[in-house]
Amino acid sequence: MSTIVQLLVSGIMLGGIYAVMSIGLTLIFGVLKIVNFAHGEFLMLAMYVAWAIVSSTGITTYTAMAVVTPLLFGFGLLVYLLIVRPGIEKPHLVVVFATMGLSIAMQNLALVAMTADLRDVPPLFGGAPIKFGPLYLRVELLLGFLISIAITLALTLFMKHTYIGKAIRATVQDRDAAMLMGINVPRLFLLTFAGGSALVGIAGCIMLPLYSTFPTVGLNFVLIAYVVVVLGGMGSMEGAFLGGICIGIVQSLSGYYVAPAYGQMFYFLVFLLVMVFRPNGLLGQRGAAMVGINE
Amino acid sequence: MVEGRSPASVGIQAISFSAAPRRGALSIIEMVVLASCIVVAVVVSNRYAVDIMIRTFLWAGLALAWNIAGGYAGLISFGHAAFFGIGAYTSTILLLNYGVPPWFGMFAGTLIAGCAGALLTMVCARLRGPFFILSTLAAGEVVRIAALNWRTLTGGPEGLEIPPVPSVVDMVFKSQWPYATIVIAYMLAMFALSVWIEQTRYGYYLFATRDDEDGASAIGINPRHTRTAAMAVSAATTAIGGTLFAQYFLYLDPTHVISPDISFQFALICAVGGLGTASGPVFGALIIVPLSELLRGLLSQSTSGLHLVIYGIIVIIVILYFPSGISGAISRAASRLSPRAGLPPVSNLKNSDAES
Repeated sequence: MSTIVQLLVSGIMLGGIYAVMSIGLTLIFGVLKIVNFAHGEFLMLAMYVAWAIVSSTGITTYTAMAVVTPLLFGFGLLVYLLIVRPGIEKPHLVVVFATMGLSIAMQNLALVAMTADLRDVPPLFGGAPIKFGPLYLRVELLLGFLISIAITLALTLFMKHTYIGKAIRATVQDRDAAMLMGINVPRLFLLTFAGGSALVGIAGCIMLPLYSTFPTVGLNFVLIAYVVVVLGGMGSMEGAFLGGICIGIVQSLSGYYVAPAYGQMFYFLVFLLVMVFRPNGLLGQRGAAMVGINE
Repeated sequence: MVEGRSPASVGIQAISFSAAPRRGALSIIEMVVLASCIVVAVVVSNRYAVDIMIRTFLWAGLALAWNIAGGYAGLISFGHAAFFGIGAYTSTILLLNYGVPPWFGMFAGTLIAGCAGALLTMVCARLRGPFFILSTLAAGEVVRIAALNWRTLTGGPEGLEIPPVPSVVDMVFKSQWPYATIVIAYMLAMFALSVWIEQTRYGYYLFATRDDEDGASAIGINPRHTRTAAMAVSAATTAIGGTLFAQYFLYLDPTHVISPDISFQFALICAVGGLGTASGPVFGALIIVPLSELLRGLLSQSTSGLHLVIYGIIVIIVILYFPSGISGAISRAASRLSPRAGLPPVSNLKNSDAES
């Protein structure tokens, strides 16, 4: 019994961390209607930058977040201006392929600059787990989960109560109507893309202590992020959080009861099943998948 | 900036649309380019040059196979590595365990991959755009993980090795030339198939479904059947390329054969060359494959991976500034030279480069 509880709890926590990484993707998708295929490489960049800061100054990754997040915001801005904006008026495959080219370039740039070695940071408190009654939890996992809840809550409030948040939600629902209401949609695109990248910066910082970083680390996680985003319904933040937790639980249970190697296969199967039976995700826009949203 | 995205012009459709009846001009250019490549390889005739040629034509054939689904039908698949892997593994397993020559084994792979492709399209029939793309990516990963863990059948991560004993029956040769011949035949067959599709009624069904599904079903085309058939043909022909790959390299493992990188490569070759045309994938392969091989050769001493950085940057630039690909650029140049020859038919102008 305690095994199941332990697995569920660590699954939920893992899921929270997946959610942070996916919220950026789902926001970008909801507003710009594009899939950023270099999203995983943004995460890789964030993890490397965090690693560089931690290993050169000795501070924790959670402090390094204060630097990594604005940095990723700036990087997102740059990528948007150089690659996404020139392609966004064109058929959406242009952006798909251009971001894919970016992903190849970034992955291999990391390989050239950092070699294929695994980089990790020393664990907090010597790696000793915290004990809650019968439950053992890794400090980093717990911290990451708490941060991800804080981020999701903050973003939800931001979306509900600020002008930009409302403008973003309006644009997700109906871009043309939003523009007619005087929302500066191109500026919003820029802001969302950069903001989504900044969220990846946060995700990178809370994931670095849990996983090592290497040039292709992004591919592993971006696949999870796609699954999470689709599961939650593209463009839905609450959906991404829920989806993240589902995938976290699926991964942790199947990893224990079936085999870790098949864990990945399970969430891809979950993904395909969702696609077949509920293609708009758990909380997504109705009919979104059928029209590919941007048609 | 958003005003340009009128609902009709933006969709899952291809980046370029120079499909529909072909004129003679472009085919002559293609033939000259192809022939000169072969001549160069024969004249140079060192192992490295011929190796690059074999890879180039193999990739050209594979990209043409991908293009049937991705270009003609608008079914952008990032899971084609699964079909490629099915082709490679089926023929190799049949050869190693049952002694079936790959000449026949490849048809078993073709059959399985074709069915898998049809199944995937039927399952994802309702999905469009990014949803379809991500589903194919997930399906590809399922096949990769299955291959990685089904050790008794696929040898798991250690992979399978075909014994390098030259034998015509086993499609293993000492010299490179038989491989070159087979691969060129594969590519030409795929090219012929593509041109044939473009000119038949079925091809028009595909283009109509891709460009306007509602319109297509209004005039009596069944979009679901059309799509499924396109994906099945594309998957089946990709599997043949997989068998050829296995026979040339004599080694298979899931991480290299079924990786998403392979699927991306198919798509990027088509995108760079020109999606939805028969010549596009060939041009794309002629540029991308030798380029990345040569860059690898030139730069490998200094640092590994640098060639792929350059490759990625080239992809970005070509996609952003020549969205109809190299073949689109060439046909535009050709139509400027001889205004009659390369002019797209009137019905096609709506979708031509003016918008993309």
